[in-house]
Amino acid sequence: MELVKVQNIVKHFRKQKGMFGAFETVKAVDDVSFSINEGETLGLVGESGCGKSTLGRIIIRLLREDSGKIFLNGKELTALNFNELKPLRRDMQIIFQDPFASLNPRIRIGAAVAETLEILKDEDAVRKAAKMLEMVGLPSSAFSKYPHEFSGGQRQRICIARALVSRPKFILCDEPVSSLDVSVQAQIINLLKDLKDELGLTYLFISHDLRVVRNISDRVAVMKDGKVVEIADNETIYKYPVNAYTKELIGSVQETGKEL
Amino acid sequence: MARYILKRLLLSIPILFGISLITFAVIHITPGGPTVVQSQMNAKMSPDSIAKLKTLYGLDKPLHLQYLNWLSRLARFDFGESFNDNRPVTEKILERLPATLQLNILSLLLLFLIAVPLGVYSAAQENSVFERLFTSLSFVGYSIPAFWLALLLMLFFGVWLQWLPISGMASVNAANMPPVLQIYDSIQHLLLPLFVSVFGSIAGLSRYMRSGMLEVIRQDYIRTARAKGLPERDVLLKHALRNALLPVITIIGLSIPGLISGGFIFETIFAWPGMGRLAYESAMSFDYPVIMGVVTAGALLTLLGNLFADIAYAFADPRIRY
Repeated sequence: MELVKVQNIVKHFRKQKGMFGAFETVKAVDDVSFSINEGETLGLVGESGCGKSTLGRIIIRLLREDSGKIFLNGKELTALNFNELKPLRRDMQIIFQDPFASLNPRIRIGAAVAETLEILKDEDAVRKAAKMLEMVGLPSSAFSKYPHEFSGGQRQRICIARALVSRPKFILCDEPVSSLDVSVQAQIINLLKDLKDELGLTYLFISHDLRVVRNISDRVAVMKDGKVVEIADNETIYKYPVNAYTKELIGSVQETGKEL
Repeated sequence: MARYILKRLLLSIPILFGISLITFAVIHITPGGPTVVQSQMNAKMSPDSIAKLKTLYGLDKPLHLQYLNWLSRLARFDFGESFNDNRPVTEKILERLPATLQLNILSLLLLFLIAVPLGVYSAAQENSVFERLFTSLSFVGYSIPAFWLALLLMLFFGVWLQWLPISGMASVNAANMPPVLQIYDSIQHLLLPLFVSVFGSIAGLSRYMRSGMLEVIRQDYIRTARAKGLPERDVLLKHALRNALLPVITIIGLSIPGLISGGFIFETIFAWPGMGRLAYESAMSFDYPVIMGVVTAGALLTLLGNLFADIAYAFADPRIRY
């Protein structure tokens, strides 16, 4: 069953060259359509600047699209205003790349995690937040500490707890392991996999790292210059890439000698 | 924390020593001197009486002895006596302090009340017409020299419209007025200096606030707060402002010495009887003890202001521990 459906999404940015220069249109997302099934992980790969983060932010409603539609669980998100969207925020959350930038340095961990629920007027917010922190493998003492007291991997665990505390159905992972050491990357990937099975989650996993995407995804979409050029099963796309760009992308990783 | 404060206080002793030494050297290197000022226009002054004057002020002794003498009196919290009227320097400073404090505390309060919200608002409205207007206006405001603006305002409001007095703290006959009119009179005198002193600083502080806010707004934790469904107002005031205000602590710390020292040019233009004018007058008449006193007090307050800012940081930012 489809959980997320992206239909003909377009987002252009107008950029001016200098103060008096001509306007230039950057097609960040150019007529993109796909859907993500419930319980599935869709990997979204592409080089930096190809529009994958922009697309992610449109899906999660952090950015407004120029045209197109987004559906979550059959509801059209693109037709809702801020207040109508609020209860639906419970169902979709985001994990960012840099765990040092994505935690407010002046807010304690427990409060940061509980805030998601407090916005939703959940009276049991504190207890649920503490339980969630435990679930991502943090000691119970973490609750009243500040972000700077944790390592990068631990901070990413906090961000995961914050995203999952409202028991969402859909998680947007925007390069969640790209700024971590390789050994920590594996830990976080495994944690994300475990939590997915345990809580029945659906991921859109954005990354430029093909090895990471292959490890976690069921299907992979390849994006270039704002367009999805190929979308296929994990095994198929690595073994029998059709699109020239996909071949190039996979070839470049194989050339460096790293095992895919 | 207590150890850190103690360390900083002890460290400030050599710094103060250095500042006083440099000031002392500079004012004695400067051509001219108190005896020159008092004697060159007076044909009746004989070399003999000039020498007598020098002995009176202690200027006949070698420089290093003069400095040590000054230091040893300072150690007993004695800044010495003014060359001009022989009154204790401490007394002269305390007499001028209220005027400067009144003006500067008011202007600092107004400055923060206006500049912080202005900067935050303009950051929140990035790329809007308001923001562009704000950016260009603040650039103009930043570039206008205070003395020029002061003169223009004096000409406009004081001379042409005759609405406001152009200088001083009170009218000549203020003492004979009923209390209500006295207050009205001093407010009238306060308006122009206050406006000029706030105006120049608003541009700087609000642009500082704006760039701090913009930097914080681009962080992922602000995006996360938005993704959680937090209303934009809460995102800005609860998450962003608290972080963007941190650097302002430094500015407050740095403005503490300014509270006491006053502006030289500014107070002179408005004939405001404050510390800045005292420093200016004493510099013009080579009143060494007063210059030394004003500079030392200013240096001490600068060091204390910095220390205060660093301590405040530790309370405001959980990442900082001493």
